[in-house]
Amino acid sequence: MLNHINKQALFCKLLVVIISCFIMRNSVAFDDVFNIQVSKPTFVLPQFTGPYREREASIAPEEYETAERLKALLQNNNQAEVLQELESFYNIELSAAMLTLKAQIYFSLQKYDNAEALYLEVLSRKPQLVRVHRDLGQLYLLKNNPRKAQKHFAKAIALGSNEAIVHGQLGYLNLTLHSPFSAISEYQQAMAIEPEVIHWQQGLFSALSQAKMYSAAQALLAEMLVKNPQDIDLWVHQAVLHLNMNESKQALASLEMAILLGNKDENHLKTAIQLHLQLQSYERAFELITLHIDQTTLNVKTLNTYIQWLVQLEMWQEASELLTSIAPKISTMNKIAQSILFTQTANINNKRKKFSQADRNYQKALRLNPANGEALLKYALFASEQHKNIQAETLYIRAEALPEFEKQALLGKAQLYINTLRHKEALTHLQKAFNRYPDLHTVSEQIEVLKNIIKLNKQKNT
Amino acid sequence: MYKCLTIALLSITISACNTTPDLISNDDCINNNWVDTGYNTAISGKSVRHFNSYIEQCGEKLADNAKATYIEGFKKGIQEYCTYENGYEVGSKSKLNSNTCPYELRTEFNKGYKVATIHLKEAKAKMDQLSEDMQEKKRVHARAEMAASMGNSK
Repeated sequence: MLNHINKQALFCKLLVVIISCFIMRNSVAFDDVFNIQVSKPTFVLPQFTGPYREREASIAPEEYETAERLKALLQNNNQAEVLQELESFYNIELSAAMLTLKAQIYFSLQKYDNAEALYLEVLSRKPQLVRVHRDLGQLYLLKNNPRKAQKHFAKAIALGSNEAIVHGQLGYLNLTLHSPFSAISEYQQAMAIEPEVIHWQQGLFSALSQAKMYSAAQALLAEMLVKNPQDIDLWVHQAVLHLNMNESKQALASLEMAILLGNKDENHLKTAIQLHLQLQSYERAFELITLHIDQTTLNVKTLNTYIQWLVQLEMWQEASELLTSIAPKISTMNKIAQSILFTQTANINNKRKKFSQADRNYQKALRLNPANGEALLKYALFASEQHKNIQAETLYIRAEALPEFEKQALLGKAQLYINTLRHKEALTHLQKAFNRYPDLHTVSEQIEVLKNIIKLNKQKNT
Repeated sequence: MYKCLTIALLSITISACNTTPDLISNDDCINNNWVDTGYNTAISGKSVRHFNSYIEQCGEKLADNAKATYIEGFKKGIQEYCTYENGYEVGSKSKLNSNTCPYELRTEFNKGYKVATIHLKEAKAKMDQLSEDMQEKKRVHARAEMAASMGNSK
């Protein structure tokens, strides 16, 4: 029988939280009458930004003939020839429009540095060219310079660009560089212009989620799921959203849907298993563990985590079954991994009171990896419980030599000495532990108790 | 102003086609102050292509950054050059507008050039008129003289 209270506490520790934050819900007293005065809306006259033609580049009259010729070449996809002709001019001889064309060709030929220099030259001559700001923004995105990209997309919009791509990219950049709130409006603009484009929907969803506007995100996601019910990512998004809202059941339902649709992501499986364990649907949890172990290359870390979960839930039978099911694969693993699994097998056998088997398993684990600190500590405790105190002491001494396990080894050894009434040695070890690890403040009380015991014993003897 | 334009009109044939390239020494190919050269080229209304003559003269001896620095100077100079006043001056000398000003800078320059051309045309028309008047006066005078001499002979 599982103790449900302990179990809940255990799960709190167990859960690897994929949720970054939780909602703080403030209770609202509905009886209170709120009286908030807001200022009257005022109309702000938009600033005159000049004639629209200032934001578009036009070619010089003497370039008409050349432009016609280049147009024909471009229609035949002959970019190299166009570039050759444009390169025969000094840049200062070309109009901003022709220079922009030259930059665009460099861009399409992936000569990004040339394109960047030219776009900047165009802007130094005509700073209000919307399309150049847009192109430069795209270029900087490709060159992995998001701050500059953001600057130019924002400028393009300020100059009147109303292209979905510009709003969408600015939304993305604001989301990654600034706050999600600064991205929401841009994604909404992009979506308003191109409502069917999934990128903008996903962007808006991300921004809403990160801004913790879960209800709006949920509404958007529901709409997206109606259109694309087979989209695994959307189900995963929904799961994350529910987790953010502390709705474990709904999160699990969404994750199960994703798994049903073929999602094989290990983290998602792991999360689903955790949620099943949390919600006490142990059978399904164990089923998913088996599925996970069957479908992927055996990862000892994940496997060990699963076994630990089962052990903590005192599901000895299931843990044992799991280990039996992977037994044929164990020999293919490296010695360190094998040692970990033999330690777990030993722990389970110990819990199931199969002591001689446990003893053999611990020995095997330490033969495979003599530096397995976990095995040393567990085996020492096991030996101590079996009243093999000298063996336990030796094992603790070995564990003490491993820096990662020194603290636990010192405490374990101190406990062993207390059990065997070797109070002075116990005191020495506790003091040593306390000096090295100041976080062990509770130990100070035990030190005092031990000192008193030693004092009393001394008085008795005298 | 018309006096000035008249002088200009008389000198048009002398100054119209000054395209002789500037000569440059080997040392200058490397050590020349190309920013100043570019600036001076622009400010004197010459084409940016003037640099081609340096390329031809210097060949491989031309400093690596010559073109870039020349253009840097040229850009600065051309901004100062492309004004109404300079356009007027070029137009008043009946020089060809060679469109050295970049498209976005040429509005004021072209305006000056156009106004100067109109003024020049008007001055020319006035001179023609003056010349015609003088001819007419001469003809009237000649006729009067002829009539007088004919009267005397009678």
